Amino acid sequence: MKKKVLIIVILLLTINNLKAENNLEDWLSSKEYRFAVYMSKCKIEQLDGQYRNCNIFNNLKYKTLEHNFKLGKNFEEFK
Amino acid sequence: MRLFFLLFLFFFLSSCLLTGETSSLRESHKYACLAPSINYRSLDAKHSTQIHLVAWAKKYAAQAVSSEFKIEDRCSHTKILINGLYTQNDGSTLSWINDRNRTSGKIKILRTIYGTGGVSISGGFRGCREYSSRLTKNGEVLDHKFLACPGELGWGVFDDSSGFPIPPHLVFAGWYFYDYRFFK
Repeated sequence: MKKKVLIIVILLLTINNLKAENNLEDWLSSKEYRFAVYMSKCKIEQLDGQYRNCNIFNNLKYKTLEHNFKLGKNFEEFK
Repeated sequence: MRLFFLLFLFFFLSSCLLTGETSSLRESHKYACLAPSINYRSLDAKHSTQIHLVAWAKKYAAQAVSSEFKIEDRCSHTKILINGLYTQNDGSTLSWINDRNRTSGKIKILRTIYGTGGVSISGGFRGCREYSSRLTKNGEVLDHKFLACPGELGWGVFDDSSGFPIPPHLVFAGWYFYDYRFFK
């Protein structure tokens, strides 16, 4: 009896985990995931010679770059 | 048997104490599912290590006994966060729902700071975006508000009562996330 209960519990946990894995696959194959990983590492040399991250909102922070700001540009251009 | 238990306890405690990270936060790092509001308790405990050791111990204990969101929920929330911060206009709301876990989440982009706001050092808050996050789990509602900035807020911009800059809660995907409660 104990064995049967144990097997059922293991099966339920496995099915539950497999469903979670499916949802994770959706995330891991999404553009948002690839973009987040890329943006976490990306550095760019800007007009003032400083290396900063590639977040386009930096263009609002530094007045010399402000004209080049367009909402969504980073994400749209990312393949 | 006792030896195994002691060894397990030693490795568990030393890994947490050395890194200040919980297992759920390590999992979030692994899959890049780091939206700060849905990892709030773990991140808050880790953030406290940079401010006060006793505060960290209290927060670590608090998060250890509370249930975390599952990894797929953390990833769903991160997905709408990335989308919201990089592509959505002020006032936009994005959401997700997971019927199986009876959980859901929403992110609303509140405003983008275009002006200097009176702070001049490195542009101050310029380029930062304020957003609110709402999470529900089994009927319980959790609200958080964050300021996401493209660069770190340095000296004289966002300091604690002793004049030291408050570190961001998280640096992720090109953003420095600051917990809004520190601005009160």
